[in-house]
Amino acid sequence: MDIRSISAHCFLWVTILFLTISISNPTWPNSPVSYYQDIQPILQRSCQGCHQPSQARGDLVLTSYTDFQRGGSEGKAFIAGEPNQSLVLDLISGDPPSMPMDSDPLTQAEIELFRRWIIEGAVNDTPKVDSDPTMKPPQYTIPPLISSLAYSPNGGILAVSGYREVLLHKADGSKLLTRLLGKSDRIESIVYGTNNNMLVAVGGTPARFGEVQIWDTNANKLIHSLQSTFDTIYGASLSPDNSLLAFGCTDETARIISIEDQKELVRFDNHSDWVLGTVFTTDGSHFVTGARDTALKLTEVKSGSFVDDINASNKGSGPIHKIARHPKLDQVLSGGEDRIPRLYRIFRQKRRDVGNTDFNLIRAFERQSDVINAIAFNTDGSQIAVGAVGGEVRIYKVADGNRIATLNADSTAVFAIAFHPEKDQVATGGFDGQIRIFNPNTGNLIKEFIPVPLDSVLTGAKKTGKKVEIAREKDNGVEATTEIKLAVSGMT
Amino acid sequence: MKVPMSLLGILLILTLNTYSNVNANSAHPEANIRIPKITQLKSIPEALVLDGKNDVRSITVSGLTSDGHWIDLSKEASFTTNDNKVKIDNNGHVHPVEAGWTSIKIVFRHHSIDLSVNVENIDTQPISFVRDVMPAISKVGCNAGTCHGAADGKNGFKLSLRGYDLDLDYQTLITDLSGRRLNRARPSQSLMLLKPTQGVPHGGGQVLEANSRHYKTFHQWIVEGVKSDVNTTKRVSRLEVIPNTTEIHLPGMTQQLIVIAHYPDGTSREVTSNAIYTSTLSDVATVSDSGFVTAVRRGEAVILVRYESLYSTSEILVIGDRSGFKWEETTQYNYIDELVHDKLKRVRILPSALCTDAEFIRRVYLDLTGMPPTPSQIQIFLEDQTDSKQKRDGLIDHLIGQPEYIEHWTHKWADLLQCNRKFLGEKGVWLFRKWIHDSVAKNKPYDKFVRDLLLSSGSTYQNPAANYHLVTTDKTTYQPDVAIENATQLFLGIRFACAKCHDHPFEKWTQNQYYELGSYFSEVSVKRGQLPGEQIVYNNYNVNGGVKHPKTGGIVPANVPFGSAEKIGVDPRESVTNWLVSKDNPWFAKSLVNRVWSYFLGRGIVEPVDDIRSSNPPSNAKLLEALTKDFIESGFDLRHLMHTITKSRTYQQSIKTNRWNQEDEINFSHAIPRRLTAEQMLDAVSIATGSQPNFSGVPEGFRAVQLPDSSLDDGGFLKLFGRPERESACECARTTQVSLSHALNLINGPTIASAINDPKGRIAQLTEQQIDNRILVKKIYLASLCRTPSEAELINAVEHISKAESQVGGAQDLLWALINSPSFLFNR
Repeated sequence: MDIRSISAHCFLWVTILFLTISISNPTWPNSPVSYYQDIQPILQRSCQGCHQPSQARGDLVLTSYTDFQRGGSEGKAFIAGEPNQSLVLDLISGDPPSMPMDSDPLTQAEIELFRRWIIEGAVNDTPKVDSDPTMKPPQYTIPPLISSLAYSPNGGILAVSGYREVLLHKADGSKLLTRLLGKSDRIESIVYGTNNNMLVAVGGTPARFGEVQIWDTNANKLIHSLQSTFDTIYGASLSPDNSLLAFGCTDETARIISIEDQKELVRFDNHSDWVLGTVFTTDGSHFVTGARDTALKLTEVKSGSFVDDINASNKGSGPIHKIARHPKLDQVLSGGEDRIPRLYRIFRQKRRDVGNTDFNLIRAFERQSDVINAIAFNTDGSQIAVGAVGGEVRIYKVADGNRIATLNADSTAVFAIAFHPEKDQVATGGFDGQIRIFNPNTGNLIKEFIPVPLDSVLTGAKKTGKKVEIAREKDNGVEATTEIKLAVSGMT
Repeated sequence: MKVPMSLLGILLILTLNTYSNVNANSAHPEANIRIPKITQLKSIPEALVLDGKNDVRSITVSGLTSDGHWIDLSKEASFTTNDNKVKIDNNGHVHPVEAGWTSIKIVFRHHSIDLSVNVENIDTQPISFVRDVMPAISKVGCNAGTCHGAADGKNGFKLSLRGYDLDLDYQTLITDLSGRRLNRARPSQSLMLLKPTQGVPHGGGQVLEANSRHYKTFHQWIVEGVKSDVNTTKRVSRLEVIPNTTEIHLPGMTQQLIVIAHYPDGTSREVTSNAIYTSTLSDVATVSDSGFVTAVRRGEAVILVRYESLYSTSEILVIGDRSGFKWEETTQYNYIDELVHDKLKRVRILPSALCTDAEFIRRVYLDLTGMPPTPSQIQIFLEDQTDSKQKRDGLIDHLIGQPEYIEHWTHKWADLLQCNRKFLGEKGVWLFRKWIHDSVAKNKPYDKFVRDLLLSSGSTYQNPAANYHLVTTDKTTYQPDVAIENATQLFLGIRFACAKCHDHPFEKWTQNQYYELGSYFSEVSVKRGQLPGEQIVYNNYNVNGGVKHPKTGGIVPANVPFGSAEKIGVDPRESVTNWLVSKDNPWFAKSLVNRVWSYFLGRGIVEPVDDIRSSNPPSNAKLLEALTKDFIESGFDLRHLMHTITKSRTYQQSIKTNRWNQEDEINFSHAIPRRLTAEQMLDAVSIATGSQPNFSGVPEGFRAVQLPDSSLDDGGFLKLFGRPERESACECARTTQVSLSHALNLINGPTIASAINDPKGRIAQLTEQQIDNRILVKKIYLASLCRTPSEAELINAVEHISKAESQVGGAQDLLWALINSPSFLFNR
């Protein structure tokens, strides 16, 4: 073989090599790697579980480009154009790679995507999201579940949680007045200010963000929206002078913010599980928190410091789901997984003893047939209502603990109860999405209605029996809603 | 350099060809197994009934090769149908299209068979929480023990472990935290869909693809209103795996499993793609997520199939290349040999030859009496000219019932019944041991023995059997839960303890059954007697009849987990004891024979012996059945059982293996060398050296096997060699493994050294007589290894002793070396 044929031979192999590569990687190197289409999905699938805002291992968050770029405790995650100085490549390659921790390594092709993306400049090509989308009222085909209810202090309005909205109904259920549209999927708790002008709704979108919405109910206008934590917010309560708002969070904290400027004044972190309920004391000097960790804790507002354990949580009370304060006295009612509503005095009168007796306990009411998800006091504090999984609401006399009435409030589970401030009426809501208003003394059902307009096109024909009537009623509702104003939150 | 375009064109074609060839090859990685000539085709099932639109079934097809192996052709065979009543997809799944009868033609090469199909109806059913959603949750793995099925759940979301509590899981998904996990207005935005698909950050990673089969099930269920049918729909009641036992010829060959769930209402559905598979030996056969088994090497593996709370198994036998194998007819002494050989023929293994008489006498002495034979016993046996089988049977008849036999089996039971002064006090230990001793001496029927223990009452001094209950008593508080865990593990071979906190993860036992069983013992009480250390076991009929369920807080009425217990007398213990020791109890006799078998053969037919469950099948089910039946028919006669086992040829096989059984570990084709237990070792050293061990607190001459409990020891030797502390009913409390610390202790430790050097010991006595070195060596061999030395061994040993500084020194060296040899340390 002479020289020439050798070089021809070499050329042949080089060509084959080149062609093989270009055939097996038909996109390279013409189309650049996209962060949005290539990199972000890998991060989402393999990395975000441990590197997310609510659980930032190594101080690293990978749910957005900016956070990824910022890096974590070990430094910047990548340097554009410098694959050799980019930490992320070191961590995901290697044998075995140190990331993703305790799970399958990324494939060679995926690692190659990261490398090329960095070589190509690590550009963020995430499309710009319209920052102020027009808020459209949600369309419902079936009623969404109701997680919170509140009557306005003058008794004129019943506020009901919907999907991404709070619906304001006339208190007798005769008319839907306004829909307060927000961006939180869930509204976990609604409270009215004592002056009828303000409504606070807290909630959020699970596993994404928590939100406090402060509404002006005269103008039906969102005054403030405050995002807080990375999951839904629970158990809102207002101080007696309406200046402070307390709420519980899934990061095991309870927080107090000022209504005026939404500044956080207290962050209480003495619980060891999600905080689901808060109440202020009658004078507003202290607040009580109830949590899934079974504890009821008393904290001073001014200093933010822990004062006392109200219940002896080792005495059998399970995770606490809801708490409510007596309208006039410093007494707090709790209910939760162990099915027993318990009424406690908030301030102790005895010294703690060694046996950790549950001495603040005023009364343990009858054990419910299922887990408690809703509790409420009536206006003068003489009655309580307890709603449970299973759909039953029971009314008790506080003075002697006797049961007054039993209400069949929901097909599956009750999540919300509110007493009318003046009339002998109690409204319930829950899994089946229907509001039912009862007389708490007799247990008689006064009114039953679906609080949201249902989309007639999508329902109607399929429904049978009773549901047809509901659908018709709802059709009327739809007509009615054409007149009502839509309150749209002007969000940033 | 210029290159003509035509050359480039050729290159391109070449390159493309190379590329496409690579692709073609990688698409058929398993194509290297050539399918041999097939003589016959069969399908399982042989007919199909389809009930409803979602009733999708698959079919396995096997072909018979000319050398007699069935091989799986499910992937290779073609399926066709000549009308439109069913549709067959690319994976071979049969979907109903139109009601009526039809047939599917299955073709492989020139063979074909017809499979009849009855499409009963093509109705659609709404998504069922019980039958669709829960199995999907399990298959995705949400409720696994490492995820939300953990005792505390994960990140605030807790499901019942592997879905044993449907009600709780429904509430958790639907009503917990005001229905946080579902979104009625926008089903696809439900947290229970966003989390597993990593649509929002999920600590458990992405476990579900959006729009996958399971995703659609969850989504549709939410759209249909997350309805619960927990109270109306029964869960699966029987799980059928097709095939439940199969042979795979060669490594690389495969078998598709089909799993059918049967419901109490008579309906069934195929759940192959939702069942969960694990292989007990993945180096023998692996199993894919969809029940596709691939043989890896010759051996036996069991594929465990879980669906909801039920378990079933498919036994996979990988034959491997056994060309040249031919079964040789082998003598059978009794039914044991017949059944062992049946299995050996199936797995193409030849059993080993019989062991020698010298091997036999050491083995049978150690197994029946816990001690090796003495030199004179060996000599008498070896010199006896009777036919070997007759001689061996005679020796067995002689040994069973001897005082040493009684001591040995008393010791064994004292282990299992936790005869321990920590629980019983010093006097109690002696009295309880004496009670066991008397029971063994009388050969008390096993059912009577257990009955006496369970029903014992009164003073632990006057009725020592009552000491049994002190083991499960904390100070004076009797613990019914520990009591049933103990009793079920000991007498039924069932590990019930898991069910204390949740349904048993590998068996059908539920948490309720645990407490129902415990309720039988809820009245048992213990109080102090008048004498120091004396306790009184009695029934306190004033306490509420039953134990409390930890979840409901309610009293659980007594009930048995299977079969039924008749109510007898006032003591609920009587009902449960009758049930437990009954001939009809499928576990009672079986667990005992399996246990005893393992003492003689070195391995249970089910292993571990006290963990019998459907997911841990026996290596020879027919053998276990036959032994059980025989034991029951003999009136639970333990000595009869030992006679039968030790007189079998199987027990008397050599440890020497042949070409065909050298890899066998589970089919009893050869004897398995077993390390001597701690007590056997110390007693054997004592016989070999002629030196008595020194235990404080007992009279001189006490053997290790006679010690009442583990508080007495000879310088820590027994503890080191695995004597149990007697604090657990588990057979595993005793260990007989071999480790470096054992070797070091034997080589350097004081126990062996001082026994060999004992001035009153064997070496001292023998050398005093100034005997010939050849005789000396023979005597040392006989005393330690229970055999005479070979000529080569003899020459070597004599040479060593003659060259030694003294005869004593040389003889000590020899004995030391022999004690440290496997022939001494192991029962072979």
